[in-house]
Amino acid sequence: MTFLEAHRIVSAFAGGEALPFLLAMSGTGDALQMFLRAAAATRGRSASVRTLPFNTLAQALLEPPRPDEREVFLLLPWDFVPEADWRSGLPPEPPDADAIRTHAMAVADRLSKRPRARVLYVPAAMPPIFPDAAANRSLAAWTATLAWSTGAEILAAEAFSLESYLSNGGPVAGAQLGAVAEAVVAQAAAQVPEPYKVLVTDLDNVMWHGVIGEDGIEGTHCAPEGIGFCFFLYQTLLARLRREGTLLAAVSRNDPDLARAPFRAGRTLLVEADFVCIAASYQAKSAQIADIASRLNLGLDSFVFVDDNPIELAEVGAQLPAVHLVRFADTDAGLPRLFGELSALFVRPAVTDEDRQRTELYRRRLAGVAPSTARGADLTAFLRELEMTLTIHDRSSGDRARAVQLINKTNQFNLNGHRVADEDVGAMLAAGGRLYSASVSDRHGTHGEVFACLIDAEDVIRSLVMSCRVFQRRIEHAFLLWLAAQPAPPRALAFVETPRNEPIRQFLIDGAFTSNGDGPVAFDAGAFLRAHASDLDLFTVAEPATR
Amino acid sequence: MTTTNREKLQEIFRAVLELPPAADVTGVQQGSQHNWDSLAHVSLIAAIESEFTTTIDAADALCITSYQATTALLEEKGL
Repeated sequence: MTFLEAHRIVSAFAGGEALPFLLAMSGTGDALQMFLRAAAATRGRSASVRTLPFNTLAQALLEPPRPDEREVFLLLPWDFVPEADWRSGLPPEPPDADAIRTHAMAVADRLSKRPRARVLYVPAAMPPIFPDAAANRSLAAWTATLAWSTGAEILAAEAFSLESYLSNGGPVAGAQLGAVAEAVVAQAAAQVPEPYKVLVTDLDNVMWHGVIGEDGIEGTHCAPEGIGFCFFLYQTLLARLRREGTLLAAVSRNDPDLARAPFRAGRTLLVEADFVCIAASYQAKSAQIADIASRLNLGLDSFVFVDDNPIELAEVGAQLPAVHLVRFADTDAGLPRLFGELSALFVRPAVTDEDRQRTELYRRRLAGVAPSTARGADLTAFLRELEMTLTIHDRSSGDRARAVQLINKTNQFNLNGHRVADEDVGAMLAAGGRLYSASVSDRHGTHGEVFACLIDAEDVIRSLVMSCRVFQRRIEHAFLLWLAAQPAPPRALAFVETPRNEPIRQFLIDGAFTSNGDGPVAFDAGAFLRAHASDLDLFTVAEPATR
Repeated sequence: MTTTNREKLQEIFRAVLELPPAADVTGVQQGSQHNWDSLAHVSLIAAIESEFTTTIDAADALCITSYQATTALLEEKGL
């Protein structure tokens, strides 16, 4: 796309859905603007591009990303290695190579912790900052590899123009503006997939070499040697994913005791407790996976299924199209492909204590999950037997990290899908708002901090979220009952329907909530107390200390 | 400079300087055109580089002070 082509596209474009994003680059992006608007227009979108002040990319990386803002980083070698910036000239002394690499890796680390960031990298020629030509070549290759490790899309080196960079600070070559803009907008417009949550694995010839039903326990192999080596390595990957918060489940068309036998016999690296569920029956694997999803209360679009058998994969794909399918490696040589694919599906920029405890939390949830047929009086009796305790925390001062994290990661029981920056929450609290969270425990153990509620100074609930692992326990009712009985109960909820918050929409279908179709949903605390008072009988409520 | 390239250059000047489609730009000069600021200058250079697949270095950029000067520069580059 040339400039005049871009101009004609933009001139003829009547407007469309906004495409807001940050274009982060260390030089000026002024020359790209027309091309970005044209590239967005060809997708029916109106680009709204925020750029950084000249040469402030390094500082911007130290700031947290804005909530919900897509970021596209257009990087050059000197964004990782500032000593190699042409505009700075060569350093008077050869720089410390180790220090350079340490700094560059810190930049890459900061990038990897920005979940909505996409990276484009232009492997532009670097000035010779070392006296040794081989050292300069090595640094250039290493920097490109580092960029690649952040998930960057690598653009052509010709996308950089030293003439333009020196002349006006714009690093992109004039002849490449259209192509670079196209790459930037493609990244900005791409869907950011939600990370997968559950890895469901087949057992025979996936978790171990051999078929337990035919070869017996002695015929299964999973060890760091011989024919079980690649299966052992696969289990080391699963162990890492589990530690990082991925839920592991297994399905097998087998007798349940037989399927578990290698675990119980100590012939595997993983143990049963590493799995949130090991399902074994003679049902189709799709039925087993659907049952697991139902019991975990997780959408099938958060599931990845690994099997060595293409027929089984096809069966699951046909019945459960939302499940992501991965074929196990046919040979040891296929392991890099398998490991790379699985690692990319379960990326977690930062691992929290909640992530590390997730398997145990969900195992407890399964232990406390109501039978799927339980309704009405049966369900109430079941919940009462759980002996639940709801502990309410006033997070209006002090540590609020978990409450803010809940607001920013919950999708289904989420009042409006709005993500919040910690500083914005702080400002709302300073203005007289309130932030509560709630933990739940039952006779099976604790489920952690699973509920958060942010109320502004006008007594309007701005965020109301609950982890899906404690659905169907009437926790939301118990919390709002407690809140309704407080001296200043909320008067409204800032509800916005999203593609995924059907559970909270269902919750709001209640006589205590009134919507006029526009603006917040009014909340009648008295009506809610009268209608649901009995739900508090299911809980022991531990109230927070006074603020 | 070919007629086609002259027409392209005039269209670039009108687009970058936000002039009407029929505006005569052959007499446009940096000093007398109020919206020919530094940002417009960068955009003008980028547009020319993009449209004519050429490069304009810092020295060349200083020569772009009017439509006529730009025409002369591009002719020097064989366009």
